[in-house]
Amino acid sequence: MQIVLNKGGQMKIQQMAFILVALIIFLSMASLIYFSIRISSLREGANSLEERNALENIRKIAGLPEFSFSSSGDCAGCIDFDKVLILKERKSYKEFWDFDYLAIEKLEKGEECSRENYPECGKIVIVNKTENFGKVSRSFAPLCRWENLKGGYFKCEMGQILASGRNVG
Amino acid sequence: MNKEFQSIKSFWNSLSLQMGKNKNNHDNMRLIGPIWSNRRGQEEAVGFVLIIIIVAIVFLVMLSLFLRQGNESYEEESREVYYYLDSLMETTTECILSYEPNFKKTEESIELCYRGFECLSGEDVCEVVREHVDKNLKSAFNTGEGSALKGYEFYSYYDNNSTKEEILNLSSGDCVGGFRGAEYVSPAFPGNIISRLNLCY
Repeated sequence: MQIVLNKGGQMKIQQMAFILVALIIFLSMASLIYFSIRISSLREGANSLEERNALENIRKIAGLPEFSFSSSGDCAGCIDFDKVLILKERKSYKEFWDFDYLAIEKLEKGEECSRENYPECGKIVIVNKTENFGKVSRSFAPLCRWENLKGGYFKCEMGQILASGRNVG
Repeated sequence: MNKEFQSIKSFWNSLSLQMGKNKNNHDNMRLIGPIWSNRRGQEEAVGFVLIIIIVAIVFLVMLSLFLRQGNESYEEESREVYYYLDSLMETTTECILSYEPNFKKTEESIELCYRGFECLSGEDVCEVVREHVDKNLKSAFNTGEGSALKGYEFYSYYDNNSTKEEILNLSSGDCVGGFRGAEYVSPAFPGNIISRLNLCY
């Protein structure tokens, strides 16, 4: 009788140990899956914050006096396309911008702008320091310029600011 | 469940047989065997059910967390879309009002469309602004095959807290799943004109 009970007790302990081990393995696997999901969502959150930061930084460019359009009405986010064309040619501004790449382009694609083809062009590249400038972030902005037709008026078209570099985010 | 129960039963049967080989224990086993194995079986079954319940609860909690995260990211307000709308409203349309060269901005044209004005050329302001917005949306967002963007929908309506009147409605592609969007509010006394753009993924 004593031997039987002893053996039964041993078996019970053994089974309990097995169940505990299985439970620990299961819980650790479950927590592993849970944390991997949490970490991936955190990573997604960090990426979206980074993108938002880049967007805000690019948006700030439109507010700089070198770019902003202030000739007519109130347009806080508008870029003066005429001004940008002149800015591109100024040698004193070559090292001024802390970007690897900075360009202003119209949404309607076209070749790079110069005095010869302006305004029938699509893009003004202000900075292009390297071939490998990495990820380019963009933000939409209206591009305004003086149009000589019909007595002359300010015309604003859809455009975007493209930038890459440490300061962008 | 049955398989588990049978394996437990066979395990205890073999244990009883091994113990039965010892002649001294054989008689004792015969007395306590049936009651003991019955109770063991019950305990095992209860333990098994408990484990199943714990597993199910943990699984449900994880599933609910996972699904909640998925929903959160699927319908959101986007700064990028807002900046697009903000820029679009500043662009100049082809509609001239009253005299040359009084070209109207998109924001003004939408209001003129709501109020029923005509351009100097005789065209309907609504038609001009519709074409202008459509052209700009098409050049900004590619909804074709192979694009991550499935479609977009743009609409403007007048809202004065008591009534809502649709002014413009444009869409392209498929807008069934989640979206990222933004709203742009322009004052149009006594109410507001609300323009909304949703990019569907």
